Parts: sequence; C-alpha cells; structure tokens
Amino acid sequence: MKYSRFKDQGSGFKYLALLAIAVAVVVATPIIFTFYNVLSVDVELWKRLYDTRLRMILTNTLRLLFSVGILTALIGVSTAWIVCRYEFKGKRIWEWALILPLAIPGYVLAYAYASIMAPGGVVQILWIKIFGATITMPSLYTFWGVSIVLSLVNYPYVYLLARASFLSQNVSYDEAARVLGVSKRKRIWSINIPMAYPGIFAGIALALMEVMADFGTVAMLRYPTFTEAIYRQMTGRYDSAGAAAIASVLVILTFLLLNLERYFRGRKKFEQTKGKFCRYIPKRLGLKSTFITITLILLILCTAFFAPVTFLVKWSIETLFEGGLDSRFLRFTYNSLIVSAIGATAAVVLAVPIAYLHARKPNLLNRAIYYLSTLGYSLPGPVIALGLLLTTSLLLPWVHGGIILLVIAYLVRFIPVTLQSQDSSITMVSRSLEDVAKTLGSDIWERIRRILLPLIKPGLLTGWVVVFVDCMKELPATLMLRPLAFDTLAVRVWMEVSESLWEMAALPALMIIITGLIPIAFVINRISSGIENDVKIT
Amino acid sequence: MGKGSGFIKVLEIIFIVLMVCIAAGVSEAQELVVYSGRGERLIKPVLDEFTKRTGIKIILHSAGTVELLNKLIVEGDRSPADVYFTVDAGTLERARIAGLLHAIKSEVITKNIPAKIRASDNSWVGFSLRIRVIAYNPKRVKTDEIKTFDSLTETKFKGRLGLRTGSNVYSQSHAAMMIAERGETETEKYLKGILANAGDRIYPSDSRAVEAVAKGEVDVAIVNHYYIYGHLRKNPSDGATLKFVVPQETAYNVSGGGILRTSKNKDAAQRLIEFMASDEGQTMFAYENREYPVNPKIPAHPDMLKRDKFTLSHVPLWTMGRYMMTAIDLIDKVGYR
Repeated sequence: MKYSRFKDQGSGFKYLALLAIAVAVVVATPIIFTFYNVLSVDVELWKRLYDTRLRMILTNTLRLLFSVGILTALIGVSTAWIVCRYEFKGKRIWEWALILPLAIPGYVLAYAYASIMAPGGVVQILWIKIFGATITMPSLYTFWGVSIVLSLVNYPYVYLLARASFLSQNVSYDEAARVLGVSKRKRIWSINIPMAYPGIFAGIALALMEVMADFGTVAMLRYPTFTEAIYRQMTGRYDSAGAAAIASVLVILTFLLLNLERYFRGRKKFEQTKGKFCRYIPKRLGLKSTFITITLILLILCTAFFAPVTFLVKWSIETLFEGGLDSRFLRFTYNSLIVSAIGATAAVVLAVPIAYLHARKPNLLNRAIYYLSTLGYSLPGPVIALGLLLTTSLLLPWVHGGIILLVIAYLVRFIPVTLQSQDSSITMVSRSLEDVAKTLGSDIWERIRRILLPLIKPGLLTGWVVVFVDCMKELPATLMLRPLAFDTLAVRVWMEVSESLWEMAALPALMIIITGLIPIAFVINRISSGIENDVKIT
Repeated sequence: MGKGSGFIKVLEIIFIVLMVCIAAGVSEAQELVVYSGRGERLIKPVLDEFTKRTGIKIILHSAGTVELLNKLIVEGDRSPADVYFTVDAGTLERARIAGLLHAIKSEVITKNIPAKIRASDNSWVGFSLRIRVIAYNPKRVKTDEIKTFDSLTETKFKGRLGLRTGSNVYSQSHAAMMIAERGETETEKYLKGILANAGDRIYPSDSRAVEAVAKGEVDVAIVNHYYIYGHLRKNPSDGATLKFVVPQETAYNVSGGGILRTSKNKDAAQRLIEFMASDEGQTMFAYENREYPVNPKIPAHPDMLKRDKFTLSHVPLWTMGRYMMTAIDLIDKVGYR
C-alpha cells in the first residue's frame, strides 16, 4: 500500500489536492477553451448576437428555469413528504415508482408526446370527442409544453434528495416544538422543510442544471434556449466564436445559480451530531385521503411514465412485427451500456478527492477546484464536444476518435452530479468522527477509506446510478464525439426521430428506458428492503 | 469499498479505454469509411450491394449532414473518412469551398450526371433528385391558388401555411436557390411573407408538415416531394386530403457525395462514387425513397409524377451552394427558426 508512506497528514492532503487539481483541469478544459474563444469576439458580434439571439434565449431560459424550478419543487417535495410521513396502501410500491421517470430522457418524453399529440394522434381524437373540434388543443410546442416535459423528467432529483432529507430528520426537534404548542403547519414550514433545505435545494439545483444543459427536448420542441442556439450556431454555420460567446453567458448563469444554491445551503447548515436518532413514525392515512393521495401519485406517474411508455411499447411491437429488429440493436445496447458504465465509474471515483477537500477543507483553492469541476454540468454537449475535439487535436491527436474522448465528455458533464451528492453526504458525516481518528494517528487516506467511504457508500452508489443513467441518455456530446460508427441507443433515437421515422425510434428509446430501469431497480431494492443507509449517517 | 480496490478499478478502466481506442483507431486497407447524412435505411442497401460486388468493406458513420461537415473540418488532415454523402448539395458545395473534397476525374460521372447536378470541378456529385413542392388539402385549396411559392405569401393563407424549420438544410437551400434566382431583397420579402402566414406552424420535419396537411392542421405546406409519397404509402386513406403541386421551375436539390481530399483510398472511393452514379446505383439510391435518378434517362418509380410534368429551376446546384451562407444569414435575420 503506497499511501501508508504518507503518515504525515500534510503530504496526504497534498497528494489528494494534486489528484483533485488534475481532474479539475481535465474537466475544465472545455470551459477554458470556451472562454479562450470568447476573447476573439468583438463588440460588433456581441451586439449582433444580442439582437438576434441572446435577448430572446436569455428570457426563454430564465422563464423555463423558473417554471421548472417551481414545478419540480412542487412535485418532488410533496411526493417525498407524503411517502416519508404517511402510511397508506401500496406505499412501498408508490415510493419506488416515483423514481421511474428518471429512466426517461427528456427528448424521449418529448418525442413520445409529440407523436401522441400529433394531428390524428390519440390525444387529438380524444380532445375532439370531449371538447369538440372548435376548441383548439393546447400545443406541445410552447413554453408550457417544454416546461411540463422537463419537469416531469427532472422532478425525481428533487424527490430523491428531499426524501433522503426527510428520512434522516430527527423527530425530537419536531416533538420539542409540539410540546411547546407549535401548530402542525408551522412545524412543517419552520422545522421539517428548512431542515431539508440542503436536500431540496440540491435537488432543484440538479433539476435546473439539467434544464440548462438540456438539448434534445428543446431542440425537438423547437423552444430556443441557450443549448439550442449554441447547437444552431455550431451546426448551421460552424461559428465557434459565436457559439462560445453564447456558451460563456450560459456558464456565467450557471455560476450564479450554483452560488445562489450554495448561499442558501450555507445559511441553513444542519449537522445532526448529538442525541439519539429517532425516526418519524409515518401516520396512517384514512380511506379518503388514501384515495386522493394515490390518485395524485398515479396522475403524475401516468403522465411522466406509464402513458408514454405504453405507447413506446406499442410502437416497438409494431416495429418488431415489421422486422425492424436486427442484431445491430444488440450492439447499440452494448455500446450504450459499456460507455455509460465506464463514465459512471470514472466520475464517482474521481469526484471523491474534490468533494472531500471541498467539504472538509473549504479554502480558496479547494473551493475553486470544486466550482471549476461543477461548471461542466451546464455546459452544453455541443460545446464540450467542440472544446475537447479542438484541444485534443492540438495536444493529443492520438486520442482522436477514441472512446476516451466520449468518457471525458461524460466526466465533464456528470462529475458535478456525483460531486453534489458526495458533497452533501460528506457534509452530513460528522467531522468529529474523523477528528477522533486523526487524534488516534490515522492519515487522510485511512480516514477516507475506513470512515468516510463506508458512511457515504449509499451516496456514492446513488451517484453512480444517476451518472450511469445520465450517460445512457446523453445525446449531443455522444453524437459529436462517438468513435467511428459507434452508435449508442440515444444516437439511434435521435437519428430515427430526425428522419421522422417515429416508430423506428421507439425500440431504442424503450431500450434506454429499460436499461435505465435496471440501476433504478437496484436503488428501489435498497429503499424497499428497509435498510435505509441514508439515515444512519448521523 | 476500499480505496485500494478503487485505484485498481481505475487502472482497469484506463486499460480498457486504451484498448478500445487502439481498436477504434486501426483500420484496414480495403475498407472505406463513409460519413453519411442520408438515412441509413436508404443508403445501407446500396452500400451492401457495393460490398457484395467489390469485396470492399464499408464502415458507415451516420449523422446529420451539417454535423458531419463540421466534424470533417475539426478532424482536418486526420479524418478517417474517405467518402462524404449528404442530403443537400449546398452543404457539399460548402465542403468543396472549405477545401475538403477531391476533384474526381471520371467518364462515368461526366456521362451519367447532368452538369447542373455536380460541382464545377466534379468534386461532388448528385445521385438522387428531390424537388420542393406545395402540399395541399384539395378540400380547402384550389390548385390555381397555389401556382407559385410566392402565392403562399398572400394574406389569405394566414394561419393556413405549414413550414419546415429554418435551421434545416432543405429550407436553407431552398432560400439559397431563390437568392440565386432573384437576389437577396426579394428573397427576404418572400421569407417574411411565408413566415407571417405560418405563425407557429413550423414543423421539425417535412413528414410532420405533410401529416399536418393530411390531418387538417394546415391547408398548405412547402415540403420535399417524396415525403408526400411516403405518407400516402402508410396512410392510403389520406389521399382525399393530401395532394401536391409542383410550381414551375421549382427549387430542387440532390442527395449526393464526394471523395475527401484526405482519403488514403481514393481508388476504392472512386469505385463507390462511380457505382452510385451508374444506372443501377442511381436506381437503387432513388427508388426506395421515391426520388428521381438524376439522369433523366433512367426511369423513376412508376408511382411517381412523370419527369416531363415538371420543370426545374435554371440555377445549377453549385451556384445555389455558393449562396448557402447568405441564405443562412438571411433566415436568421428574418427570425425564421
């Protein structure tokens, strides 16, 4: 064991920091490249960009962030609250079913609904039957259409993290307040929800960063946002300077969002260090409330998951009967699985040093490393791809066209996901455990290995699962960086949809969802087996 | 989950990654790497036939036509691609201007392909012809109302016109051809007119625009002709609500290809291009998608409108291609997304 040589904790920190810096530099390359490109943008171009694009996309994006933020918070927090605090029929099933939409990429949901709501589609026929032909059906290709689609696929982030927070809450604060005669509503708003802020805000931040980086949904629904504009700038005219300029505004926007989120979290820092941990005992719901609750959950699940999936299954079966399946599909699936597994593993392992340093030693350098590594999440796929292609062309031509570029792109995009969850996990592990170990002479590697990793293992696993699914779904960077003839399922969906072969897209789309379900089933298994590791990290 | 096993895992991953990189980087001599923007469903059978006859294996990399152009620019001299196929002549001309293409000297091509439909230096060649037409609902529109594309700018079509997105190469090359025909100012007027009539009825694909006509969402739409045949094959009952007219001297385009300057297999690549340009190749290329072989002597699919029933714009495709960037700027300027 190499690290045993560094008993001295100072040098341990140094090596950890070096590793973190190395990862951050690689991850930040496309961002640096983007800003480097912005330098060549003159005032004239800025003005033209502002008039023709920036003004509109800025408004569009902000509106979208606002609506998706509110919608995901509403859906995510309320459902998390219900399953944490109440007992009702089939709760075990609803509890895990609410994560299912995580398996559906936004662009697949958009494509499914676009197809269902197309002229002559099921929804339109139903609409005419119910409302008559005179009232026009609301279009999916609007602000609200995009908001709803993006909220439905992203609320599980808020749900998962809010749920984890609610579950880890100690009932004793609530009881103390109750004894003092505080009303239930007030207890919820001044104790339960604020104590869950780190989780809730981390969840919303994740959801919003997904929205900022989303390309497939907005491109399919023709709602111009930053990513869409950048993509147009790149594919239409190959204007990398213009694309970089737009991207730089997006990066700054994310930076603001991240800081806002961290500001809120910094103000509400809760460590549950003392006292016995007492779980909340879920309250049993009456017949009527059970009915209402289940109806609501079913409504969410049907729109976000079961309805679109049913149609995908139907179209897939039709394609199968028309002989649309060949051995190539197995290869696409295999490609997707292998590249996502590599991406997720690399992201989880490489995020540990960054998250650890940031949580435990938040000095200027470590915070800078952390921020630098987090920015990539909002960096749109096309910009990451371009940045990587050009930098590697200059420095490392041999990696060109290899799978490693794709994996780096996944790292850039998804290390922030693992960072977020690792950071909040580490924050919740009491420092005193490590302090004790330190006084007993254990070095930093040992502390990470023997105390931290076991304690945050659920967080790591969750992070791995989330990144794996994200890699499966990732579209624009995969499109641009995939090695020669290396098609993934996501690439297939995009190609079939852009050729308007709607039915042909169903099978690969369904496969993305199914493979996305496997890791989700794994999380569900942990939830339903009742070994709730999340709550033991006090 | 110990730190040690984590490091071993990382090493394993790096090893796997390197192996895959190496595997992906190596390509054998008698293989052609084809970058294709054309639907795989359409191009693969033709490529398979080529492999069957010549024994030359094909590695097919499909993506968007313009995305592939950008990829080729970024890859520069290291591009593994030998042949580039697109669904748009304008993009091929852009590739030629960017110095990506190799001028082909071939009798097969000069004999079989009309001069209008290939680059001035034969560095790209069209194989299948598609025309821009007006799809309409015969229950709501009379044919004499829609004789030209300009008639669609009339105010009576407000809210009744469907368009394809302005970011698409079909819309762009249509605009480029119009600029070549009548200049920028007139084209701008035309674009503003159709945009005002289309409102938010701008569809992300031609087939969605066709569908919108058939299902009564709009009354007219500007599309490529074969999407109408495609829709009617799948929905024969829509014949009553979906027909099309071809304006005189209509805008046209091709699906075509060229050999890349950086190709190390130019002989094999030329055999592929010549195969595509042959009577048989053109037929295979065009037939399934209901396009016209570019050589008017080769018969088109019998279900299609006969070649003598319509005329093409006098603008050669290579001229159109030079106005591509102007068209993209104009489309931006008028806010056509």
